[in-house]
Amino acid sequence: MIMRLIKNLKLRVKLILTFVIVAILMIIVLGIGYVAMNKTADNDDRLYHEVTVPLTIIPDMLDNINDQQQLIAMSALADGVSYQEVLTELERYSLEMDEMYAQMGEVLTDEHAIELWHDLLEKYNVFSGFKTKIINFLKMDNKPAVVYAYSGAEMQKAMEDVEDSMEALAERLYEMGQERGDYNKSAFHMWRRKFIIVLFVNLLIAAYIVIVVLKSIANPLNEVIKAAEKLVVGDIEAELRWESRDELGYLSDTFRKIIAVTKQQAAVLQTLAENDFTPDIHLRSEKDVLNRSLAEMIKNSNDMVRKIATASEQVAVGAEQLSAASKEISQGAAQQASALEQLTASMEEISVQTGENAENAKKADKLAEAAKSNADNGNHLMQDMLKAIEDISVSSKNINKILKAIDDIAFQTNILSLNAAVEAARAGNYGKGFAVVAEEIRALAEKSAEAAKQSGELIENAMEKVAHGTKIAGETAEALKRIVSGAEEVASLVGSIAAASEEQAIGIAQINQGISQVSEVVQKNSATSEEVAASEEALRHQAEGLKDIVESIKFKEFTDEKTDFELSPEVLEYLESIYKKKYQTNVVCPDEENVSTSLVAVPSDKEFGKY
Amino acid sequence: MFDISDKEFELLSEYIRKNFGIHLKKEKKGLLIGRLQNILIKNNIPNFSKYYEYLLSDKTGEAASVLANRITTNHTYFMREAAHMDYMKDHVLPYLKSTVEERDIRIWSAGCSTGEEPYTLAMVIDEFFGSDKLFWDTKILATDISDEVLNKAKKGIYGIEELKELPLGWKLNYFEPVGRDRFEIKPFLKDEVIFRKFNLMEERFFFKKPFHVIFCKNVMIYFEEQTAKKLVDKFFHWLEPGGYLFVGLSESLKRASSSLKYMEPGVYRKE
Ligand SMILES: C[S@@+](CC[C@H](N)C(=O)[O-])C[C@H]1O[C@@H](n2cnc3c(N)ncnc32)[C@H](O)[C@@H]1O
Repeated sequence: MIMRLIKNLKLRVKLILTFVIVAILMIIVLGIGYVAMNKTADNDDRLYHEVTVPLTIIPDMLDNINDQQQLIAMSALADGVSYQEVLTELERYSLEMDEMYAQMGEVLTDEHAIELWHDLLEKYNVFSGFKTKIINFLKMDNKPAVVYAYSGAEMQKAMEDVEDSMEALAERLYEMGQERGDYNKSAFHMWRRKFIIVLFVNLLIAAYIVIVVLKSIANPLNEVIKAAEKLVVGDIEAELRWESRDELGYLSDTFRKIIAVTKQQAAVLQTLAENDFTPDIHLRSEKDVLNRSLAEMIKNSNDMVRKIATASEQVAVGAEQLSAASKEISQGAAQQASALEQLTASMEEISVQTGENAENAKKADKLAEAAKSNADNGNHLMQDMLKAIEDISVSSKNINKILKAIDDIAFQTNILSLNAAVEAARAGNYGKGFAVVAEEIRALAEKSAEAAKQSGELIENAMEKVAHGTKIAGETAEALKRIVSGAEEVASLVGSIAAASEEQAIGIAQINQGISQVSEVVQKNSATSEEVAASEEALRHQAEGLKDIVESIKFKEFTDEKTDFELSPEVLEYLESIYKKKYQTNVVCPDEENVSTSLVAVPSDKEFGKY
Repeated sequence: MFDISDKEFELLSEYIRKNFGIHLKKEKKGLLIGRLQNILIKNNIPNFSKYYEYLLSDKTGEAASVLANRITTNHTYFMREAAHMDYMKDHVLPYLKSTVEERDIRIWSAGCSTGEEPYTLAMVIDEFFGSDKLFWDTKILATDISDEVLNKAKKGIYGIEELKELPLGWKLNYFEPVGRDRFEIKPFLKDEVIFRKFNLMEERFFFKKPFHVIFCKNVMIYFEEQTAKKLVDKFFHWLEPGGYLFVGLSESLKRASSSLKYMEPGVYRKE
């Protein structure tokens, strides 16, 4: 209840109220203290006036009465005492006594004391009566009467009575003093207790109020501080539950707003972190620097990303086109190289062939020469052969004659053997052996005749052949003659071919040298363009990667006028020129397989020096 | 002119991809024919199917070697991608000079082609170290799959045209003329480069120690992404911590797949 009340008070009111309440409580305590002190002082005063003062008078009174007594005694007992002097003295004492008495009367309040005071007056009056008598005797200078009166029992009694009365009064005063002291003491104790209680109670109340108020201030402040500390370390999940209608409530509300705003900003930044540059930023006020900067940043980022996007797109397109172009170039170069290489190969072949040609021509030349001389030779041999055939023909005729002779001999032998056979038969058993021999001889003769006949036939045949051979040989000789003249012609032709081939070979060697130079250049060119194509490909991948990255960023399309990113005109022109050629890139990557490098075909070296 | 069927092209390109890493797309048919036809002619092979059989049956490795010679693109030149040489001079070498122990700097030029790249590196290093060079072992390992280019590299003879990118001082310091318009790398610089045949498709690399710097420029542009990634992983493995990997300026590593830190175009560093 009070808490609620206190909670909702304005901070200033709260503090002032606390101060006022505490002040009032202090004043109460002080008031009590003041009253208690006053009371104590009062009591002390009364003690002083009612007891101490009369008590101080009584000894004076006793002295006074004793002095008077002595004066009287002196005047009675001593000689040469001027009564005049005694009288004035007594007079002075009396006046003093009266004064003291009156003084006493003024301060006495206690009834009993006043009674005693009256009693003292009575007694003193009695004493004064005797005193007057004695003064009179003194005036008359009647010493014995003075002595008498003085030492008279009544006089003594009066004096004693006065003293007794005085002592009674003193006693009473003592008594009063005691009473008064006791009273004062208890009063003091009472006030002291009161004071302490009030002090204590007030302290409690003050402490309670102060604590409550402090709590009502410290609690929200602590919450705010905790939240602030969380915010400081970047924890935006800070929570603040305090609610009240005072400044602290307002502070908490504001802080809640700060947290909410920070959360919003964090969300925005989170979005940005996710490469989304599209969040809208609303300025919370004219002076919202943070959001203004954020908005500006987003706007700039958008501009930048848009520029990058445009650029990266263009770069990607450019890279693709470049890569396509260089691919084309490298393919061209490769083809060139390959064609040249092929050409080199063919040229080599040709040159080998020309070499061979020349060689062959030379060989042919030699062969033609050889052929001619061989043909010549043949011709001679032919003549010889013809002659030999002639000789053979003559010899054959001779052989024929001999054969005839053999045939004749065989015929006669046959007849002889027949005769022998007949003779043998006639001889009977004895001629048996001879008959066998005769038969044998007949058979042989027959065989000879047969062989001779056959030989004759063969010779006949040979003769025919020889005739034929002669004819052919004639023709051959004729042909050989023609060959000789042909071979002569061939030899001269082949000679010129050989010379031409030689010249050709030299020419081809020169061409070869040229081609191999060109080939070297083209080869290098091909390697270079291959390399360029390969690294361009790598670049293209990167450009594509860049494009992908940029494409993953969300950004607003247009925020202001001039955000177009300009490529330099040369680049644009270049890209244009490439684009016009309409290269199409259709890169087909074969499926990735696990490269299993079991045993590489080209083995590495085994020893690497210090490595 | 030889012709190649889709099937033949597939077989051959698969073979090449498996063994050399080089990826030939369909449009490279012409290139394949152009580069291989002479082998066919020389060996009297009638068609590519027969060639493929020959390739598989040849156990000497000669056929594959010749194929590697023919199918690789060996384009290179002195001072190529000079930005990287500057980076070496300004960042890498000072770093190595101040951190490397035992004065042993290990640099690998993988895919060195005809040697221009490792020789250029050797010149950069020589100039950087100056007279201190005496106390350092900075021999470069230069490897390639093609023995044809390695032979040229080992010879170290180049035409005058090929030297034109080099500063005059270097031409004088590191070359001597041999014959007309031809120059040879001086022996002391040749000694700074160890040329070896090495196939990057080797399943496992066996080196004695990891490298401080690996150059593998314009090699992986011929490879498929998957192949290149695997290779980059191996390079990463064979790099010293703080070591550098250089690739071609136009190349980019898909960095998600490797833990190499991008420094500038073509330069990566093992953290
Ligand atoms: C274009 S050159 C690059 C030369 C040099 N790095 C440069 O950037 O100037 C590519 C080189 O990589 C080599 N190469 C291709 N595939 C290879 C492999 N699997 N193993 C080793 N080297 C290979 C080729 O032989 C070729 O010489």
